[in-house]
Amino acid sequence: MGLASRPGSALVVVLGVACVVGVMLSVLSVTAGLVRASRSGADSRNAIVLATEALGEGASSISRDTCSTLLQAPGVAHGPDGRAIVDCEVLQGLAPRGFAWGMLFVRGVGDHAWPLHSDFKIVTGRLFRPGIHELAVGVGALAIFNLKVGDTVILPDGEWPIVGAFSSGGGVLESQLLADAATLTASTRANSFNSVLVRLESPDAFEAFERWIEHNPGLAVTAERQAQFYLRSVASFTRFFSSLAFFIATILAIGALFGSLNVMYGRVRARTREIITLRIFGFGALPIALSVLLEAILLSLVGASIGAVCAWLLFNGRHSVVVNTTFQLSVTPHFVVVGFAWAITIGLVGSLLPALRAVRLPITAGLRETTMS
Amino acid sequence: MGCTMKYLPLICSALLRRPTETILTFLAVTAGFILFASMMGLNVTYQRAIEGAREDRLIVVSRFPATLGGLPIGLEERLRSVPGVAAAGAWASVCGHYGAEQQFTCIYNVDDGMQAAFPFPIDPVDWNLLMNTLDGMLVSRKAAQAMNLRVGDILTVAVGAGVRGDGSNSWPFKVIGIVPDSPEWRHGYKVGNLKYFQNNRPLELQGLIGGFRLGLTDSDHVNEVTRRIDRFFANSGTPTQSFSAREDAANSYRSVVDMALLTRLVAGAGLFLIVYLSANVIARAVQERTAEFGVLQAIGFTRIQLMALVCAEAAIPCLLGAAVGTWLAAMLTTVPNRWLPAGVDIPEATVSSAVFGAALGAAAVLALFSSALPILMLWRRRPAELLAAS
Repeated sequence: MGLASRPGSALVVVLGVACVVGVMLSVLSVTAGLVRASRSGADSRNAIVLATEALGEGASSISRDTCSTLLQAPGVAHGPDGRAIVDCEVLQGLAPRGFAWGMLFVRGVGDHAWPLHSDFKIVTGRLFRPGIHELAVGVGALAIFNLKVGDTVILPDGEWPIVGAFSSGGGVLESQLLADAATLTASTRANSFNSVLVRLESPDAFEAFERWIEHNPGLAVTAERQAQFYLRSVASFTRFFSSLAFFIATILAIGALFGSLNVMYGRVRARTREIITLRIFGFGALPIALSVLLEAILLSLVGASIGAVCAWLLFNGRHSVVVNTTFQLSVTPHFVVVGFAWAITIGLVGSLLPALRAVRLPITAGLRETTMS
Repeated sequence: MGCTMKYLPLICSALLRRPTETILTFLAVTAGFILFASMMGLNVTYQRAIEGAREDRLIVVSRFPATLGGLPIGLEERLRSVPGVAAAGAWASVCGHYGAEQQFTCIYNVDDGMQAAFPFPIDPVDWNLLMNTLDGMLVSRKAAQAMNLRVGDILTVAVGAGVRGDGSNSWPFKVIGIVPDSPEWRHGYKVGNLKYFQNNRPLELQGLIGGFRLGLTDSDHVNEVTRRIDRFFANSGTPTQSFSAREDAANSYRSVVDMALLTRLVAGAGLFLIVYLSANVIARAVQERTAEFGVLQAIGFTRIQLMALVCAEAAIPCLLGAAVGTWLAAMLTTVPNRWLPAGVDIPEATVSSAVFGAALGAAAVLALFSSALPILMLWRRRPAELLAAS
């Protein structure tokens, strides 16, 4: 009854909360997407090895000798052929053609790369052939940088054709181009690798592997779990977007809160006759106050649902890029729950004072007012 | 004056009829405009940073950036001889962590040519001191304050393996002067001596630096010079990629996320929130006072005058809210960074007079939008119908 009356004012609360939740979830979809991409590309049995104190893969340099030594490390898994599943990888950055911003990375991988990327799948064309100037492109890079199978990419040794497109379960690898590591290092005249990806016998084998590296300072490398490394790489950006989302949502929520207070006062005033009648019939203060609170909370929840649906329709699954990592924006259930919690808070705080006014309405004055009107 | 005196009591009584409602509307509008002005101000900050970056200065880097290498220092002389280039300076950064909290920093090491190509606001005495002190470093005031550095302090940067020739992970720099800040370096800068960088590099990387910065003779031919340089080195062992400092500034804001789009979207959401709220409040106020408008029309007020009254009633909280909201946004520019976690940084919004004007303009448009429906309702009804509403 309360909800059905004055739909215009009810819409103010609904749309106000929809704005707060919609904007918050839209910005948080960047955070959720980055975290999802980081987790998707990582396997709990994988460890990544970088040069000591290197700020990231791009700034890390690992010699061939170190790479060979890592094959002997304890805890490293071996394939059916008896060889250690270790991939020494090289990363080459290049400016994407036709884009004034961003950096596209070509990752050189060896023949042991595939067991390390369990979700890797060719979706179009074929994989590059070792020893030949060929590339495979990730579906993320494909979507963002307008690349397609058959295009060519200019590298130091000339034009390399893209012969296939791959997916890797939405992981970070999808932002990059893949090539044969030996061919790429020969082409770029690099004499070292950027990182070494290692498959461990089990996730628990990491400690032994890390200890072994620490006891060999001559290697000048450090090991980190792959998932942890990816999450750390995007941590400053996830913190930035989360903070931005909550900062914006706080200001919007303050506006929506005042709007909600305004509307709920108006709705209590408009229902003075109904509230007085209920009190004459014996309804206590609590049920009347609860009816006002519940009305506001229900309106806020409707608003939160609209905001969440809008954010989901507009942003969920869309490809985006943050500092050279392509990923899909993601409106996650976790953040939707956070949005609903905000909506309930706005509804509750925004109706507390109007609810108090409703229970404090003097019956005689209320009756007089309703008779006069 | 007489006209104002005639309408003012009517507008005041309309606004004070339900003071709580008016105050709450004003507060909601204020909150909306804090967001609007902050977002527009942020946009102005980005735009100013881009426009402040010089179009006639070029940055030249390797087209295929290598992990530890870059471009050979020998290119500097060749770049100076390219038609259109007035000056050239070489640079290389030493980046790493410092201090117990492992904070990240970069020291920008330059050669003597940099002061002509891409000048820092450093006086010649300090500059000469830097060029004559191998391990010296000049720190701008903002950077010195942030890192708590004073003249004579040693800043030791922990660098990656293979960065230094001696195998060490520590790269010490001695603070030899605190110098003025530059608008191009938002967080301040730390500038070192390129010779010190080169002397400490591994043998196979000696002579390789991060890139060059060039001063041009004429800002009208930037694209031409850029093409000339990149074409000249295209088939060499070290192909280059050149772009103007302005393009670099624009790319740096675009590479994280399209901030212009984001700020406009959020500002739009703030305005949408306000417009719907104030429209609802005005519609309700007009509906409740239909008979009053009928009486006013009966005693000689024209429809246009009634419309003006409704508009003024909507405009006052909107304009006041816009003014106070924008003022608060200007006061709060430093708050987000205090509130954000360490390592996360949002540039301070520039709440300029243009932003203030935009906020007031938006408030006026919002007032018009908010009062459009109530005005239409009044317009369609005859005085007798309005009076009958009582």
